[in-house]
Amino acid sequence: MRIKIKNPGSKDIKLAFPTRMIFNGFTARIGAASINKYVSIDNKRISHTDLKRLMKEVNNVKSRYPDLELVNVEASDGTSVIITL
Amino acid sequence: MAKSIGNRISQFRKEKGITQDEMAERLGVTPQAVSKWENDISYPDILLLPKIAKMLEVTVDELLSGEAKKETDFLPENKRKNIDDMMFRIYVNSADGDKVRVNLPMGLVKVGLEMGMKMPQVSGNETLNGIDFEQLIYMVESGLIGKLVEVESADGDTVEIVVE
Repeated sequence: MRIKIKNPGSKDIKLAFPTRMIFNGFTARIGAASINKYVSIDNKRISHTDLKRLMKEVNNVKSRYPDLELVNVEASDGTSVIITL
Repeated sequence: MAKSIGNRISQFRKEKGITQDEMAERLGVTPQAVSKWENDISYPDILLLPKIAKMLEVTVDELLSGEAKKETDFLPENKRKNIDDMMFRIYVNSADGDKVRVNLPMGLVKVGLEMGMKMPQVSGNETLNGIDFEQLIYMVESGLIGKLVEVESADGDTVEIVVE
């Protein structure tokens, strides 16, 4: 997964993460616990199995569509953020 | 940051899992030519555009302008793609000039919705609040593709949802 942030007037920021290192069963457990502790989503709780399923799907998508541009945000002031799987 | 035709060819090719060599072979050009298109060093011949669009399963318009297929189609059962091979695209244009483009494979959208995730949380736009996404998935499974939703809010934000 790559995150590219362009901001006119300052240096571009490029971050690259190994997708499978971020999206795995261990991080699903930590992520689910943190989401349930700090984020309120309509009083629903996210189980680690749900999050693990989502992460597994992300990994499937990564192998089917390598370099898929997930999000592209362009602000009117020229700032842009691109998240590529 | 406007995307060039080369960026779009590269993006669509990667989304389809086609290599530059395969693409070149199918179009009868050299892999170097494909590489030059993708790096904006040269442009494909105008007569090749329909072939490229067909191979990448997009329209020539989409290839040239980056705007996805705007018409809504109903596909008969024998022509429908597997829902997991489809792409869910959200285009948000705010009145003050901000643009948000979200491309999500349908498989991921389905899992997210089953977990209770809402699309405004993904796209960050409240205009999507009133949309029943489960109904949209049902419509797609029933064979509807193309532009499914177009919303214009009072403050000038527009949101389009396109399924391909």
